[in-house]
Amino acid sequence: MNTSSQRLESLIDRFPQERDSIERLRTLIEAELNSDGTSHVFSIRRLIDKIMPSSNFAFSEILTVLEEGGVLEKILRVESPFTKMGISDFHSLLDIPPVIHDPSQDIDLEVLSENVKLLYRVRNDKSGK
Amino acid sequence: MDLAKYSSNLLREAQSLPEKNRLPFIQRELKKITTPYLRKSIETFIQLGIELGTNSADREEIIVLIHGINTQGIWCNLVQNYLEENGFNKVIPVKYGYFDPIRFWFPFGTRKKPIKHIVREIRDIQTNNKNYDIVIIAHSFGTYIISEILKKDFDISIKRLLLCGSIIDENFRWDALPKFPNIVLNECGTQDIWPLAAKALSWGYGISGTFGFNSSRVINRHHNVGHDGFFNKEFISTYWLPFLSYGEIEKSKWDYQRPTPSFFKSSFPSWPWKTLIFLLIASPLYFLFQ
Repeated sequence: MNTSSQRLESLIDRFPQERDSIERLRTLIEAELNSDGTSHVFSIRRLIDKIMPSSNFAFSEILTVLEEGGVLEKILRVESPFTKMGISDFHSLLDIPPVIHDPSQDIDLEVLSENVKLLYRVRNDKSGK
Repeated sequence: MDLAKYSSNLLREAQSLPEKNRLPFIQRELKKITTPYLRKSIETFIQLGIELGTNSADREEIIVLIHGINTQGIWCNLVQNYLEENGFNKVIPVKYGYFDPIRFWFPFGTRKKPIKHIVREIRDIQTNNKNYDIVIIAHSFGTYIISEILKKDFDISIKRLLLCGSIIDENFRWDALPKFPNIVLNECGTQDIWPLAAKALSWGYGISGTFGFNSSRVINRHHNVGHDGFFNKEFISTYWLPFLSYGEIEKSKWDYQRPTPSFFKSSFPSWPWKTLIFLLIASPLYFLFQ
């Protein structure tokens, strides 16, 4: 049994009502790990659509455990309000500066929470990511 | 710290702020949290809530409380008050009046009235609160009532079921229910003798409140308490709030320590006590009418 499986098993013990969503998460992680090196980035909305957790709080806890365990990588992406393209990635809200340069418009932007997006990527050593 | 409640409050506060002030507020609050894991978890929950436009840790819930026999369900008031103090807006004790031990013991017909009353009440709550999930806390005979409802009433939908002092048959067919709740947690009291007595002396009951269910569908959690040992603030705060808030099962230390039950305690309910009682009552009547 690999590390991600062990972590998912312990999560089922802790959140038994999320058993089905943890199983869906397991399938997603395994598919990513078995991919040919292409690592997808999932927005939190897309993850929720796929995993269908019954509790947002439990799901946050699950994601944090997997992030801490090195299974998932959390990305907080600041997007340009004009192009909706990512400007810069961070690992914590605390790292985001109040002002950031938007190269698409060549202007300095005040970072608003509506322009920050929560994303996840499965850590796959094969892809070197 | 009740993490779910703390995170929900923080998120609610952040969402009430103008967009311009929101991120600095969240950053300021996150800096106050010194434990890295907690900070990450709360950060994820808040960002998730902001993106989804929700501020709740979960769907809204109604907690329904069902008491046992020989009581007016005084514990329901304590639990109701304590849960309301802790952010649960809708806690409803559902009563069926005083139910005496004789009707409890008698196996024919007498148990139907409270079951019908409770199913009517739950159905009414469900109809009038369509946007809410129903969570049930049942004690003693209340557990028996809910097990009978789950067997027959297909329209009753329960999100979480918390049983304590249960007298449901330990071999109850949870797997055969038409609608199994998302999760069933059974609080067992190692010192609780009433489930043993109920099984030994009457029909249709079981020892699940003392020794747990023999089913993988139910989570049995053991405590060194008696039949009413669950109804105090410390117990509710430690074990029930995490479960009711977001379905988390806090481990009980007693589960690692509890001794093997004695032969007498284990076998007592299986002895033919009820048959003896029946014969004791039936024999004189038989000879009287002969």
